[in-house]
Amino acid sequence: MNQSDEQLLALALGGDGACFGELTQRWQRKIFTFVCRYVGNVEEARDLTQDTFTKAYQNLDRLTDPSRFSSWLYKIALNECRMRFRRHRHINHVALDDTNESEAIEIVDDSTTPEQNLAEKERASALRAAFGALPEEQRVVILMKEYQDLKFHEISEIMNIPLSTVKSRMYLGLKTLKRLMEKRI
Amino acid sequence: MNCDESRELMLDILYGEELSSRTCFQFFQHLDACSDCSGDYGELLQTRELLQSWYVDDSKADSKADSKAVSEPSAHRFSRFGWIRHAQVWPALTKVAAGFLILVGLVSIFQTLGYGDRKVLVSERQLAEMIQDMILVNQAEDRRMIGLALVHLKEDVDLQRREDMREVYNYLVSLEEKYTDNLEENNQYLKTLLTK
Repeated sequence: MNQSDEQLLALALGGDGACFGELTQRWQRKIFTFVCRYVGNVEEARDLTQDTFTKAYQNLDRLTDPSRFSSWLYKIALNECRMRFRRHRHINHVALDDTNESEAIEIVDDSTTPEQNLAEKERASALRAAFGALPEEQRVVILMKEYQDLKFHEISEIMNIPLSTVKSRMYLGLKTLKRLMEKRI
Repeated sequence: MNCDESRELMLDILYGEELSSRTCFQFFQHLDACSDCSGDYGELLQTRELLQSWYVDDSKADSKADSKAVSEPSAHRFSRFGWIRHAQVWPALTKVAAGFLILVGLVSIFQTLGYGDRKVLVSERQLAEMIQDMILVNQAEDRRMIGLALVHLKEDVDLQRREDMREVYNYLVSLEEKYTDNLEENNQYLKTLLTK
């Protein structure tokens, strides 16, 4: 009961496919929210999440340090997202068409009035538009830090860049985002 | 602490990364003295608040990925270990697991009703982990709140300081006026004395 990722990985490597299923269930939502914010489209995010876990399973024996399973998973997810955009360059990174947007993003608080809800939605929409205008490397760092709650050193490991670069991208990203939001609101 | 050092730490403080309390104290001490860094920090805090409005419903991950990637990990999608072996073992395992779950359910019902020695619904380890998680979340939130409170405090202090300066200035102006009035009076008095 409640086995660690390392224990499940060891069992999965030993041939227990159900253990990998357990790992998938454990990490699926986190990877999905990351991918969904990256691509801005629920359907594609689902496909990419699925591809991420399939690729992880196929390359499980290449994972040298089981304690870094989550970082490794994020690395695969990021690669999948980037590969997808290399294949479909014509599509915007953060898709902002209404159907995808309304499906992927919801306002949580039910206690608000319709006017407040509308204002919140407009603000969220402006935020996503501003976010989409950021350079990709800044967006990834913000997504990983703000929404996935990863440590800076983990992000540096996933993106294979120095810690100082992670922080400078984060700082610049937040600053630029603030400026862009001020223009939009 | 100088501005460069403060900027290096700003993101760590903002996101509650592990730092010594001494470093945190020095950082906020610097913030209190430096309006540039304080403004910078306030801006980053505001941006973080804005980012919170972007919510993604993670339950939408389940509908497709769940059915394909999770429920068929061994038999079809993850075929590395051979589908025949899993096809034979899986039904038996499922039955055992179902039986076990029914047993656990029955035991829990009896324990909840007061039969048996202990009412254990969550293991001690799980409880400890839950509490630890709650503490960590609270700590991060507390740090953010402290950051916000310090920024507000700094603004209040600045405002107070400006008001105090204005009062001192007004007082000095009134003193100067009094002094010139007195000087004129003294001059007139001296003149009258001299004429006498």
